[in-house]
Amino acid sequence: MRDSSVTAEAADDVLMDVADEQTESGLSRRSFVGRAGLVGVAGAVLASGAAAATATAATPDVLPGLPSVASVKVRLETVRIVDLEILELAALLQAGELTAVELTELYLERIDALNGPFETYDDNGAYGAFIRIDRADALAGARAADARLEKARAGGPAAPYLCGIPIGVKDSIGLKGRATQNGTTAFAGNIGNEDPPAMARLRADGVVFLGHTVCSEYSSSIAGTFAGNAWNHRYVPGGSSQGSGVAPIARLAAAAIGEETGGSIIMPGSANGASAIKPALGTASVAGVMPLSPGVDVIGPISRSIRDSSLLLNAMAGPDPENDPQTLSSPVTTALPLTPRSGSRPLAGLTIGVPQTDWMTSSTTASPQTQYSAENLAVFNRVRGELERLGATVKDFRGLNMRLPAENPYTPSSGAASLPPAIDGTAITPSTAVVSSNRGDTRYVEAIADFAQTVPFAQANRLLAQYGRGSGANRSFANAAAFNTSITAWQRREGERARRTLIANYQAALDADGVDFMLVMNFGTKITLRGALPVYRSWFQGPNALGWPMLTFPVGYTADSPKMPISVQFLGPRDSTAQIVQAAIDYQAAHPRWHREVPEDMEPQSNPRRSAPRTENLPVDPLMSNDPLVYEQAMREAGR
Amino acid sequence: MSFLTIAWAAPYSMGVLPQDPSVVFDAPLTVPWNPKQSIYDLPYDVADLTQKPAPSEPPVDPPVIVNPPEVPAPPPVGAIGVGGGGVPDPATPGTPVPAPAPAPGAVRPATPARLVVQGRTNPVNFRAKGVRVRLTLPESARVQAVVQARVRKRLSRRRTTTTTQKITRTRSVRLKSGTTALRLAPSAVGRRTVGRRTSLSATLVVTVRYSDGRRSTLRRAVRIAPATSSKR
Repeated sequence: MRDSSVTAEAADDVLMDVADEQTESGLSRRSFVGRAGLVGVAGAVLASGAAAATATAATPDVLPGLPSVASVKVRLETVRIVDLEILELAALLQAGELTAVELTELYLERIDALNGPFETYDDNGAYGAFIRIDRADALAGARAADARLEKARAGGPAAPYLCGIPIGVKDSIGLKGRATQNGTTAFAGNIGNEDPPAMARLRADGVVFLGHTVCSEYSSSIAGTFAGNAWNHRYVPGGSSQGSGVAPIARLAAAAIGEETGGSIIMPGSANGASAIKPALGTASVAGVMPLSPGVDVIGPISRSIRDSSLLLNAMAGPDPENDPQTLSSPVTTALPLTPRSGSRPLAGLTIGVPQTDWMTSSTTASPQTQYSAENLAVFNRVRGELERLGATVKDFRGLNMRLPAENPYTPSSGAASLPPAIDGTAITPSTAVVSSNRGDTRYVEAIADFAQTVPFAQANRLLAQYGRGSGANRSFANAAAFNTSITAWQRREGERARRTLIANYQAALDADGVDFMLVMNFGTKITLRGALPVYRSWFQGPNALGWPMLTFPVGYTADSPKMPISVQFLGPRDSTAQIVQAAIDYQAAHPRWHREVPEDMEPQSNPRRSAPRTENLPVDPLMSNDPLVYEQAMREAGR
Repeated sequence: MSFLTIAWAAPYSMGVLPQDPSVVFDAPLTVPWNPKQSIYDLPYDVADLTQKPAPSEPPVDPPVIVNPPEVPAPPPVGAIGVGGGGVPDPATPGTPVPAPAPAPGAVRPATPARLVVQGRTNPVNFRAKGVRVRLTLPESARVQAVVQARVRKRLSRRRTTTTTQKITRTRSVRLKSGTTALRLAPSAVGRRTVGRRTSLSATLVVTVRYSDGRRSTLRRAVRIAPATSSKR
């Protein structure tokens, strides 16, 4: 049985309104306030470039979960306003020390200066995190947020902490009245009619939507190609939510929303050193998110700290029975924690496992740690020690061998497909049975076929090339729709059963060793130049097949130039979101230097390399595909 | 509601993952309101689906169809001493009596017109003059006549289909009772379809609408072909 102490279990019930009794540096709030009074905080705010000239004595810190205004002002002696975390910005906004319009303009100015041209769908010579922005709508939202905050200060209803926080949204997520193109001009003309439910929740909280962040073409590649890494834009940004990974770290937005089907939040999060949460399947509604694989897709926050991401996820999460039935199975019943636990050993009672079957992409089955670079391995071992000093028990354990069909019947890399092939001879694996029938349910192909009739011929042809099925003259949307709907009910049921068997097997592997959740490292080596990913975990789609939550946060940086982040991930079972979020918040509270590291701004190249081949429409390496079926086929062909 | 221009639908029978990971064998598709999902766990007794013979019912008499009463044909309009059709009233001779209305619920079938058309039309004559039709009506009616043929429509070598096209102009005329000869002139499609030596089977379609709403549609085969002896 799992050894779970009271201390560890308590994380599940931490509510977002718990008062923070300890700040990151270990000093009490009272001492912060006193110190802030001594150093003259108004000057600090002015020096930071903000127009918050009204900074006066610190507002009494009565808001639960937020740092005190005084402590934030102390932080502002060393960092800019745009470097603050969301909760720190919220403290200033709630106290009236900063307005949402000022904050939004700060980020818009940085986007103007550093993002580079919009709508290029290519290397734009700069970060290229945003593919398009809506300045007027963003400022209108900021003005509305300011009015709401003003009313709250005047004694009206309290404003949410997210009120006035400017964020970016992945280009596959709809927003009312704005174009949503999923990283390609082939979707030009796809406009949002309504805010999707999750985005509507954020907007209702007063979040300011700056614009859409670029993603890989059709969200298909985890490498990402259009944006540049926040630490050096010649390096891989990760994908497919690449712009969402870059924007918060490059300080182009306070946070961003990403979408993941197979690594698309975790990969850009770790490549850029962001703190991102891939929630458990069904936590937030994915209605209005251009689907890749319904039943696998999730949306989640990417920001500069896990507690910021937790705050965003709290606001996005919730049931949506009409448009996303998977939300009805969401295991998150209480709000996620926002504050670190007190004491020197907050992780006491937790057992964190390091799976020895979590191989990297090489063909060996040796321990994953033997395949890390020396620098990554040193960081990994340091993190193990830090977690142990925080009270956790960290131990190696076997994990689940995803290559064995007996243990992984859902996406086996070897062994015959367990279901008879479709009429056209296509192998129906269990995952195909699940994913394709879900795709058939949504009638996405038919909707794209309808859309293709309204666009120019060349654009329609590109949509057909991406979403049609068949070869040569037989390639058609009708073939694709026919295949998706040809999955029989029992094939679908067998696929669902195989998926559940995989989940049960993995849970049994955790239970056998008494492991609460796992510690893994997505990238085994330093982030590489753009064009290919560095060595990364094999079976990176595993968490999505399981529907389990995963989060990533930075734990170090490479020594050689250019400095690139090194991140680790927590991966836990389906109901462990609050637990892994609390553990990561505890880690970041004890070791704040990693997630607070600020990259140097990189000016856009004056003459971006235009001769480079356009990355759009180039085939995606199937081993880097975000599509579980494409990825599974590539793994089978590679014999992994 | 679609959130975007591309209007896909919400998945209606997604396999919702269990809260407890050890739950494997529960059918994931057991939402009972969807037949596709509920084939494993039906919310009703399957025996109820068996169709049983219904209890015998008394035989229903077929509806009685009553023809209009046999009355002498009305005198022609404008004849001396009469104003219209009907049986003369013996009390006031010369005064027309309106024909009795049919009984309520009775169906008065439309009297079909007689239709005569030549069995074969030379295509050269068809192209020049069209088709002659002789029509005999028991009373005045509105008549629509046209000749249709199955025509091969060739968009490209691979996209050849057969469609029904009108090879004459549609004539829509109001005719008095008695026999009338009509000429149906060839339409543009007809000229294009029928060459000087074309053989074609067409259909003459005549729709007769009587003033009281009854209607009947007649069809006759029309052969458009050159005389056999004229073949080279």
